[in-house]
Amino acid sequence: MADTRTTSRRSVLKVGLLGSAMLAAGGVGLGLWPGAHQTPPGWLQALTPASWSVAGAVARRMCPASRTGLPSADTVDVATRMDAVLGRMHPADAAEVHQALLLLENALAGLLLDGRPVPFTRADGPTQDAALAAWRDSRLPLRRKAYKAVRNLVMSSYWSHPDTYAGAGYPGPPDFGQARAPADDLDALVEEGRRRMAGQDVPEGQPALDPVEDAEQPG
Amino acid sequence: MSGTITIGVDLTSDQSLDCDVCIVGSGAGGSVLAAGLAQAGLDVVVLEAGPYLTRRDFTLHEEQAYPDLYQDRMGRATSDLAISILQGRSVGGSTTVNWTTCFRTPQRILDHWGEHHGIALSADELAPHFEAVEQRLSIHPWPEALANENNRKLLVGARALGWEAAPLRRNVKGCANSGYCGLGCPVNGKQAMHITYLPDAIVAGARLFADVQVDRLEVQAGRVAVVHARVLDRFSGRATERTLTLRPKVTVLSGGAVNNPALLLRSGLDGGGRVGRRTFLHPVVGIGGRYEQPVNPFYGAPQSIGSHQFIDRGPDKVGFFFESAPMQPTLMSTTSAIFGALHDELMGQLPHIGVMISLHVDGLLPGDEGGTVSLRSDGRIAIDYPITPPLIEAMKESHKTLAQLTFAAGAVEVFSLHTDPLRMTTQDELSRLDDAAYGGHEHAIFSAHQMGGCSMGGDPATSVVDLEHRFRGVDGLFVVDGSVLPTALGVNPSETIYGLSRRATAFVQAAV
Repeated sequence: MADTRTTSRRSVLKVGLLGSAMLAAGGVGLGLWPGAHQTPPGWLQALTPASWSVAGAVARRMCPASRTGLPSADTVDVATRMDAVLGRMHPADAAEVHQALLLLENALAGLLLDGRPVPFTRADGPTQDAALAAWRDSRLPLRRKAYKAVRNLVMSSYWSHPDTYAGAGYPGPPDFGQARAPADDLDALVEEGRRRMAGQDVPEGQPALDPVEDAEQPG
Repeated sequence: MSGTITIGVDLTSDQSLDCDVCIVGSGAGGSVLAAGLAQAGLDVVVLEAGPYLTRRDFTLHEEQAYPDLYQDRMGRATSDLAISILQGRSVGGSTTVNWTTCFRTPQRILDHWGEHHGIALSADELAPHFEAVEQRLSIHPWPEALANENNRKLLVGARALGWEAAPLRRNVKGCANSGYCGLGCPVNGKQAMHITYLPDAIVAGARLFADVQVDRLEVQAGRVAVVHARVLDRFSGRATERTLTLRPKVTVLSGGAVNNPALLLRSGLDGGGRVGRRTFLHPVVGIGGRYEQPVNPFYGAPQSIGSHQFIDRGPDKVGFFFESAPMQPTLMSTTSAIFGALHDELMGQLPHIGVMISLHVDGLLPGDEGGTVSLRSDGRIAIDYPITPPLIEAMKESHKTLAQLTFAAGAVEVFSLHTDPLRMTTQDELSRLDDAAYGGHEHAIFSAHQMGGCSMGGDPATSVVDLEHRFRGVDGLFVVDGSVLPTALGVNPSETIYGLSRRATAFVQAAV
């Protein structure tokens, strides 16, 4: 980790010393170098095809399915699951994640900050890993923050998918039949409350609904 | 005459309502208050921004629970993302997803409030309120024999070291010991607000509106005259065109330590600059242990054993206390910063991993003002929390003592949640924790307890609300929930909020 942090400090210097020279020497063109983008399976809510593609590339490195029984990040379609969650967040929060993904992708930013002169989606796996580690360990708070935001979304989109449970040794939640419970929860609760209000007997120690004795843990 | 529950999708036209009391928020504070006021015969309206969801909606899958039941789709955090903030967002508030641990307000905290915040509040005065909520919510010690393996590790380790540890009290009745408290109880065993005090309130005539978010309070002639709310789309959480406009005699804010200050600030009520300040988070750090035998940290009551061995570390140090954390896969995956094959390896060990946590008691040291809640220019809420040198010292000690505890519990490997995790297989390696870095982004930090932001106190110059929960400077406005706490508690806060809310009922009633 110390090495990447040293690199980050050097990188910050690079921005200061070389930034304008890079731009003058055609860095703008580098910044516009398009990545290897794919076509999303459907309409996106918060990401664009470009940022969705970067999210997919990040997910493939973060969740490499290196253990038996784990599905690939593409099989789970982590990028689209991320987009679905982002679509339910504050638009400005979603926009920040979108921008972070595009910054990670940008070859000029990659060169200036990490010495990586190719778009993230065009880099090989080890280079992508180094880029992610550089963001994680950066001295720039913005990059650490972006790493955490993207990582949390990637990891939660992957590990919340039931197809990953077995690979984590997680049997999944037991079925308590709650989804098939009668649609009268409130009626029963209202009735209990009504009895309580009327001073009628509501046995202490009994649940309002569906008595279940304190039991040993399942599984 | 029974009241009603109305969800946003059924609000198809703009509505204007009059009522005695409008309560903004349906969590631990608002619900107890709503029940008491409605039972006293008042016309009560409760507004909840989150959805009305019951056990039939609780799939127990994290992919459903976190986006549906937590603030910001589980993405709430401090501005720098150093601290992840777990806070409920549905009818019942955080009580729908909390881990059920209940404590009365500790005497040392009441003493501190008396000495430093001008709050004359005795255990005797609070006792009848606690007794009432303990009965209604079936708060009782969870039998040690039913502790899951994750909690048993805490007990075993503490006993081996001679440290204090004891069974926790939980608000459960007919608990199935499933372990899914944080995802919504599937059997209504947890006595959360949506199955207890809220139904009590509704039976007594209260009207509950879900998917309704209050935009601002309109103050006329020194008192809250109008409450302006908008109906949210349940799925996206975004505002629709529909409005709800209330003209209550009294308005009570019970939206919690983050959302109350935000609403006040949106309304131009900054309490002399004190609204949103003194925000306390009980910052949490954790240590993982890998055990030879399965722990299955995803099953069994999430918290049933606690230790307050290090709660009082002297007058110049931040105290902390230990509990356990349940670990379903998604929660586990967000506790570290690693990725790739290394992370896959960690996740593959999940059944054998136990996680113990240390919660730090903020707000007690002189000068510890905690964090702040403010508004960004685009209206989003900003939570900023400085991680001070005393807190960093405490976090370091937490890591060392938790690691010691985890080894004493029999772990074959102990690992920190640092960005670059420290992995230790012998106690000789514990000294490596001395050389590690501590603080924001050095390791995972969480908050499950949000307190303050509308601080109670006896001195108008330093507090937002008075000892009877009245917002200073505006008539007919009260704040009743954890946001009034002038410091953190050193215990899980839900029962303190229930008790204070029940105590506040008479004050609000008298103002109508």
